[in-house]
Amino acid sequence: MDSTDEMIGEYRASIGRKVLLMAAFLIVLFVLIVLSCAWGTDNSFGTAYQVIIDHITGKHYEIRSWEWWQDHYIWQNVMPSVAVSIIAGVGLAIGGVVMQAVTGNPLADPYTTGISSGACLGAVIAILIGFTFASTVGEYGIISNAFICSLVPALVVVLISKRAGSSPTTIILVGIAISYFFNGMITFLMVMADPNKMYAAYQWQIGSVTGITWGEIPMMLAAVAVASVISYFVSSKLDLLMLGDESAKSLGLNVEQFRTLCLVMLSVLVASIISYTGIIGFVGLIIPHTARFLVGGTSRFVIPMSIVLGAAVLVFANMVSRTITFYTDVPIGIVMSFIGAPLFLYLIMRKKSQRQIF
Amino acid sequence: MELKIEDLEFSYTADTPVLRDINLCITGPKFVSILGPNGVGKSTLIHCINKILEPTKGKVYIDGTDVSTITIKELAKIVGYVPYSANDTFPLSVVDTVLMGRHPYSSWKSLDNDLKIVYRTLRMLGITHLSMRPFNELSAGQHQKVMLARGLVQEPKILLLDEPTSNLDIRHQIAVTKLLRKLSEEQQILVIMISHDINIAAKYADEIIMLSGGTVYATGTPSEVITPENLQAVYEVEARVEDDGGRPHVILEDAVSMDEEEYYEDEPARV
Amino acid sequence: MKGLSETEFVTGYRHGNRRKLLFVLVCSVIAAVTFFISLFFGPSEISVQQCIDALMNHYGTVTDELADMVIWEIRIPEACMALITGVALAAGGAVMQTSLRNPLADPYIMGVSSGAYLGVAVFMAFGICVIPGLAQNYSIVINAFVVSLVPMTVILIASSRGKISSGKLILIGIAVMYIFSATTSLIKVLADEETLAEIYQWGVGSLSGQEWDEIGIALAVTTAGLFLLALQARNLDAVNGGPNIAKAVGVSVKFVILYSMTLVSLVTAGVVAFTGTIGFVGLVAPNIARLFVGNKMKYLIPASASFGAMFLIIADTIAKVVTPTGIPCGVVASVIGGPIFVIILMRQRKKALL
Repeated sequence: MDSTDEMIGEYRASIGRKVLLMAAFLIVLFVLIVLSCAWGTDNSFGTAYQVIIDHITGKHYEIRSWEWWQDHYIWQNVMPSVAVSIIAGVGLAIGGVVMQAVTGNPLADPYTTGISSGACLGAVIAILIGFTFASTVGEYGIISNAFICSLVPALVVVLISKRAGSSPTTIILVGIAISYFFNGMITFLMVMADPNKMYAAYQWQIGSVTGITWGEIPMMLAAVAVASVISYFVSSKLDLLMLGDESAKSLGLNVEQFRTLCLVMLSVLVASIISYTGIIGFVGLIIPHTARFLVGGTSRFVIPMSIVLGAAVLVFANMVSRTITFYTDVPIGIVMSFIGAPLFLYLIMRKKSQRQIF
Repeated sequence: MELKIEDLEFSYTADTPVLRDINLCITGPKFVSILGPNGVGKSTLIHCINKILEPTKGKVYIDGTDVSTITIKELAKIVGYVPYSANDTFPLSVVDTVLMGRHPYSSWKSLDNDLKIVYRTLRMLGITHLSMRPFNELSAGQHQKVMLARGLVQEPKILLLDEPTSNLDIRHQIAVTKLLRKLSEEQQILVIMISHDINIAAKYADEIIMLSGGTVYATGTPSEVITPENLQAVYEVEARVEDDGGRPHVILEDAVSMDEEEYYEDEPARV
Repeated sequence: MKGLSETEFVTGYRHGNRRKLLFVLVCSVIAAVTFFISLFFGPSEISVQQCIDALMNHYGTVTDELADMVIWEIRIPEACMALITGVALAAGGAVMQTSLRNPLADPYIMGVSSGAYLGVAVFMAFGICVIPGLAQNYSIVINAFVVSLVPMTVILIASSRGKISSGKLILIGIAVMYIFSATTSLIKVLADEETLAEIYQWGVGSLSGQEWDEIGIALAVTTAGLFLLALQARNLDAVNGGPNIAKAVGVSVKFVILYSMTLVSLVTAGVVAFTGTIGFVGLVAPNIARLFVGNKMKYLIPASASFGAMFLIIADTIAKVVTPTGIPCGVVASVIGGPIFVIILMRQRKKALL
């Protein structure tokens, strides 16, 4: 390259390409949303689209007319679960980006490091025993429990990852041991509880978005929205953190303070999602990697791309989960595991590009 | 500019200080090289200057300002840093890697300006052709230049380098060292580099700081510091020092035989 | 400081070894004592005197049929199973950690237990057994055993193809575990509530309800496996030094890993098939033993084994004392083991800082 302008031009063009790519995936996401409303019904794609648009523009139907039923089905049965899928997908993907930056570990996400299991135990305690740290039951009790219990594994994992020489493998092993511990506790509580409660509690452990109503969404939406905005604004700091503590400090980042902020945000984020959906794994693991592959490594682009992809992958998983029905829906968490676990294997087995030698 | 260190002490554990009684005053622009045996605390000293580590005791002043009174973000505009090794777990493109050096200046709005600075630096180091390449696909020498560029776009008055030539072959060692010397002259900055090659340091440095036993053993011009007596005392090697066009050149003769308990005694485990 | 004389050097070394043996001895004694204590606790209401009588009279004239049955058919088998399980898991963990050179590797967490669990779930939900036509009891055990060997087989196949680092091997094991537990979850979803409860019960891990012949099998597998592993102790030390050093002293890393991983998974599978999932023993016991006896396998294997036995029999006794009917041993092991595990991790961090 011969001049400043040329380089700036090329850099700008690369940004333009990234934005374009994001727009393209946003369209894919939109198509997926409409498609998942049409899926499993007699409605065609066009009809579903029409119903969605009509609802948004505020069209009214005669009660119990054919159109009314269609509208009711899509907006009261399908849309809540699609909305939760989007919110959870966005939140977990953001969680993965933040987690990977904070631990410097490409295999870290709320699931592989055991934070989700911690949150889940908190939620299960609230549901089965009725004990909450916030001394209120219901929604806030469950979330606050989940938050407090998720802080424990988050802290352990971050402390360990700060240790010099702790490899990604080590951190994943720690995460598994932690989730093993929490899952043991959850299982125990369930075995102790009566079977009715047990089945409900089991639903938390595998992650499911069915049966969620509009009323439960605002809390989760708020947490995810706030976390997304925050993480976008600190994206340059996340980049610095990924350079390692020494370099980050030398470039003017208060590493300890920032890491604590991330940790708390992460726990709130995970807790507020897990409390409604249960444990959904692998989103935070595979989405940031896919985003990095598509738009390069800078968090400023990885974060919005992860948001779009995270939403898309869970909407897709939700669609699949409603399709494979035996005598009950296969929960989204299981679908996600079957998508995610092989990709995890791929991430391990892929070769790092070889460095050229002089 | 002036870097002044007063009574600096640093320890990881309460009883055994890694560094003690460090008193230094360096006025630049200049190319300074820090020498000393393994585990003597060279990196620790550098980390104390740019607040990666907080000294246990003592003060560091830059142009009369106590660095403990300014934020690390402010400090990052004055002191640039090139680490011992680069972390490429999450590789970025070369431009993005170097752009990170602009972080202390809050580069959100002024992208064009930052890119201009990055370009000029890459141009100076002769690596503009690498700009869009991913960092992890570069060679070791190219890595080092990119890290150097990142330190330079901080537009520092002082540039600290932790063994920047450690992974390089002899040709690149000389090239990088010469470049640093040139930088200190052209950019009018104080360059402080930890070095493990005495002869290369002697050939290019304006000033040598020799550490031993956790403190400064000698400072001065290469001819003043690099003497057979000092080498014997600090490295426990016997060497001749010959004059090579006004600069000292070390020819090793023999090592002082090691007693059992001294063998790697002060070598910290590198994890 | 002056150097050591040759005699000082040799006696010093031998003295160090005696301390290591002492650790093994102390753990074994505690385990044995706890073994007898544990016989006095349990769900059935039998007085201490009755217990002692039942113990004494078993081979003479049995006076109290009920007490005799409780002691000899329920409590002693359970305690024996605790010892065997502890030995197998801890020694297996020690060998696996050394051969993969990672202090957090554990055959149990990495796949054996997830495999066993899947095998059990398949049988309970669909009644499918790898060897059809067995009695229900045996079907569960056989299924658990066979399927639990699958993850390790995958790891071994992967390791035999080209050069794969031990870290990668561990991660491959984890990936397989993820896939297995996803499959188990799927089965659980498809199962009705009663079956779900049954599958869960097994997942918690319990030492009770063992028959004598089951203990015989577990004991035989464990003894044979550990004997064969002990033969490799020196080679494992070499592998521990790193692949290049191992090669330099003439040890084939590939063979040692293949050999030890196969045996470790057989041993753990032989135990897990009977007990269900009991975690943290294989992780915690070797790491604690290492603090006392160092990394030499000749001492680490027996030390881990004795500590593991002690750990599990104590956990089992606590489980019985705290709630005569309730908490399964697996939960107690997790509750004790989890925090210890975290402490060990934190300790290592401090060390690295020094």
